[in-house]
Amino acid sequence: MKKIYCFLVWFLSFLFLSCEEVIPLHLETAPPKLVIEAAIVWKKGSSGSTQKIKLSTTTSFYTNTPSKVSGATVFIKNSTNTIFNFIEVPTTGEYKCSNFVPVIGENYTLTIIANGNTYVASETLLPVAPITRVTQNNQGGFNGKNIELKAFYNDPSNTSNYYLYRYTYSNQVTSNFYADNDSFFNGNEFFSISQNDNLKPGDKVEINHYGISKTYYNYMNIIVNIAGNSGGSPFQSPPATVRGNITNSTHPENFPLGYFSLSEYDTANYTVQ
Amino acid sequence: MISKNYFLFCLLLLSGILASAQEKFTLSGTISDNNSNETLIGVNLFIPELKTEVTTNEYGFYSITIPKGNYSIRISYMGYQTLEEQLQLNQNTKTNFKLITNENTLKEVIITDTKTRTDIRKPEMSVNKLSIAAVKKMPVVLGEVDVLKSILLLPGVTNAGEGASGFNVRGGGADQNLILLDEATIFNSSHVFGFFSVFNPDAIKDLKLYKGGIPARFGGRASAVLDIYQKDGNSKEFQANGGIGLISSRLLLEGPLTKEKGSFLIGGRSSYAHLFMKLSKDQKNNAAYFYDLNTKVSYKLNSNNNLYLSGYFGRDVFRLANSFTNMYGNSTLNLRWNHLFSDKLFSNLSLIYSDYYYGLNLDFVGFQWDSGIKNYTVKYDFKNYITDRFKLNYGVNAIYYDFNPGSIQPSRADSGINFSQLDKKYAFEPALYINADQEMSKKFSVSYGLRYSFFYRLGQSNVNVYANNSPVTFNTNMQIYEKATPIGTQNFQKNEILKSYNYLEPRLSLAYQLNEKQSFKASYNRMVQYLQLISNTSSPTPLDVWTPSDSFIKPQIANQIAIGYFKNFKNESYSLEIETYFKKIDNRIDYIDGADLIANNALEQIILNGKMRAYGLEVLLKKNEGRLNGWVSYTLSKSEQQTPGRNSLEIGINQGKWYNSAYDKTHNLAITSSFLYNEKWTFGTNFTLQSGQPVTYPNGQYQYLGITIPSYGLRNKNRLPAYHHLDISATLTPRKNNYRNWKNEWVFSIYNIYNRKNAAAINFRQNSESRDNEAVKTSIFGMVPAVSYNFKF
Repeated sequence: MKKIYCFLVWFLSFLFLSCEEVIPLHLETAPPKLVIEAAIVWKKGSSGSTQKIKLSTTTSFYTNTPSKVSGATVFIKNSTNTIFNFIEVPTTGEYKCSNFVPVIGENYTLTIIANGNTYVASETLLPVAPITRVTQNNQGGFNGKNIELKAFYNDPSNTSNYYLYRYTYSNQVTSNFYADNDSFFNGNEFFSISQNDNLKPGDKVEINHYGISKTYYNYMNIIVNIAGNSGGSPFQSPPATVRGNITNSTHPENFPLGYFSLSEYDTANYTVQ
Repeated sequence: MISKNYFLFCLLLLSGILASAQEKFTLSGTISDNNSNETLIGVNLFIPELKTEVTTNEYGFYSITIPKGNYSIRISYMGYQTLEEQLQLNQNTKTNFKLITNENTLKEVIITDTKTRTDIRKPEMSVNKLSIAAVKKMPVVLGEVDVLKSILLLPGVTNAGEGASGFNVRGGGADQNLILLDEATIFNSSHVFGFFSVFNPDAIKDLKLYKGGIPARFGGRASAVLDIYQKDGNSKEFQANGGIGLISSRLLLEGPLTKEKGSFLIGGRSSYAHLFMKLSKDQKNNAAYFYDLNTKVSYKLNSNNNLYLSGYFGRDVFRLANSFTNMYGNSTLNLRWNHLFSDKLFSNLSLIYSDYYYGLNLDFVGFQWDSGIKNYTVKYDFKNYITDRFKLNYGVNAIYYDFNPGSIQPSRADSGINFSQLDKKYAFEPALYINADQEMSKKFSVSYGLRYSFFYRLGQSNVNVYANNSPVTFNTNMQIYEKATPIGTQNFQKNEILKSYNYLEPRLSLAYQLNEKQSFKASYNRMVQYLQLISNTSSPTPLDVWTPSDSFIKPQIANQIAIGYFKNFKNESYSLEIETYFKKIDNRIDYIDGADLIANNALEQIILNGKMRAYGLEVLLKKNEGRLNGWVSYTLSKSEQQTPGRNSLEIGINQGKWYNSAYDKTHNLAITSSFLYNEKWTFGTNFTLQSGQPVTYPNGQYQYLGITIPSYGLRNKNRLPAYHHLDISATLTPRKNNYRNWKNEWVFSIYNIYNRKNAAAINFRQNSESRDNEAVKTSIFGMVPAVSYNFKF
């Protein structure tokens, strides 16, 4: 809901007369920080044994090439101390595991040892409600003329649920993410919605719904806001460094960025009619 | 401590009363416009023989008690001819004076009479007055005369840039300004998210901005008071005036109800861009418009009693296809009764209702949102003109608030949304005050007062209870603030007191006259603000909600001192005002990272109480007369905020360091001038140059889930590029034609004549094609020419 509001305010305030231009702007670069992308996802009905963790560092804002972190020790432990090792695909900064055992409700602990620092985090694997149907509306969007997709699910009423929606479009390079929570629709049938104004018949859309924890919801909400193009304006809220759930147990003040999350997800593939 | 102060206070009071021994009489009455009987506020009545003066109050009333004798009285007021009259005072006398406007005479003559010199005698400082006539001639964007945009030219006043709502006074937040329209609080002062102000210039009589040295009769906001009075309406003859502009048109009708006894005023204004939208096939289903309505009825029961009933209603409406409808606005209604208990004791009783409503219907989600604030005020104010050297103001007031933080309901049968009502909140804010204006000697005058304010947060159901009474917890492991989970809830009866506060708010200002032309002034004020605007943005948005202080969210307490030097020179044709101030505000709220402000039913879980400080130097040089007049204002200032950790384990917000508030503008230069070329043409120029707004630029980036995320360092360390624009206007007043009373004028203006693309924001994004990161500047107005037509008959 929050994003809708932000978007609204932004949109209306520039209804007339505003203009945008790309400008050269010098930016300072802070010393690099470790970034951990440890998003363990388990597709409904699959084994979930193959998982991946990515390590990189922050770079200067205008740099095109992400810097990878090689040579780290990465493993996840479950509550019965079973260890799942993640082995680097040489010099890619990507660490893979092929024997991971996902269990809903199980608590996992991530340990990463890199450059003499030990990073730890723990999190619980959460389920997600299945996508029941996808609908297409040709009078959607703010001007009532765009193609709009909705993916429906039945929100379980007994708990607070948090969702991460990911829409990947064949006509767009990057995926769009939205975080949501059921506080306004607890126990009802609800939906995620596409926000791509350029959908045309024949475009393919992959819709993923992930079940996430409340803290990851908070994290992704900030991430989506600061990564989105809608920021800025007099209505801008102060951006901040987003801390995830991973700590540096060797030098606590030098905390890493990124998050250790575990989610079940459901996918719907849809071709625009 | 308090009792000692109180004793001193009483002593001062007594000394003022006892100073009168001679046989004295009271001269009192009202001062009004000769054409319309409209009473005039702040008119100066000067008695040269005694070197004493009095100014009319908000209702045009004056009273002065002086020894018996013969006097020559001089009455002067901006935009009017100075009136001089001989008067023999040997009994209590009631005299109503009428002033003649400049418009009716040869312009060449008046210019020398229209003096807006600085009053160096009065202990009033940090106060700016603008005449509506001057405001109307200033060049403005799209030709929409705008009271709020005009005050931005004054020293110490800024806003967040083009198209931003609200204004910032001496480094304070927009929520810290008390905006009063005929004594009723206006919660949102902007139309169209800040492009235009809600005040119809035709309906306004007078406005005064208090930046410091705020009199004890005002309270409830930490930074400033903008006091606006609507016209009463012409009680002599029917009159209409209006204007046609590019964005909106306005029409105001006024006239007598019963000859010279009563008058009415009704004014409307509406934008009409949406009418053009209807013509376009693309935009047919879209609408964006605003309108407002000002009404007032005044009735003079007899020479001692006046009644006023006034109202304001304004709305903004946006509709985009069938996907959403958004409507918001203020309404106020108030009834006032002026009563003279004696020729020395003036009173005003006000009953005021004011509300702010915000509604949003998102049809594509099936969602209707409503929020708002209602308040009911009773005020009883007295002005006691004891002697010519001693005046007392005192009064009581009480406000009852009813907050609706938001209700959500399904807007369609097939909507997946559940009905939910965020807990309604209630509060009661009474206050009493006394303020004395005293001339201690020919050179030294003081104004001192005390306001005693109370705040009662009244019962609601489901008040959360937290472990250690702390709704925000600090996760020492992660070094972040988190929402605490309530350990229970407590229920209160509707009128049960949940939390109460009370504060003494002393106010003091001094003026010491060095000679006829120069003076030093100093002031101190404490202001307590019990309401908080929940807004995380640098400029407020219409959907922000107000929330009362409670056990967790504490009232803001501002202390401000200011010192100033004032001088009139070159035969009062120039004035110089230099002021420096320091302001400290406790309990300025700040939000934990990632706070969700909208539709949050437990705001205490995202709020930390921090503090704020602001200081600066303001210089205002005015040319008061001549064909060319205007002013240059320059402000050098700093405004910062800090939210340290609550104990040694916590890091606070922004690592507990002071950071620039979003309205910190180091330099702010404004020049405004008006040039009377001849009877037909008047030209106006405005120039504004100020430091860019503080913002936070990324100091790196990283990839997460395939998206590029900028990473940020400390808050508000960077600044947008400097902000400046030059605007010009030309007002054409065609020679009076033979039609009876028809007067008209054309105002041609060009806003931002050299087409400066001022940055409203700089955003950072990944180019969707090249996938390179880029900085994107958004600017709102380039050069904007406009024309508007005003008429009066």
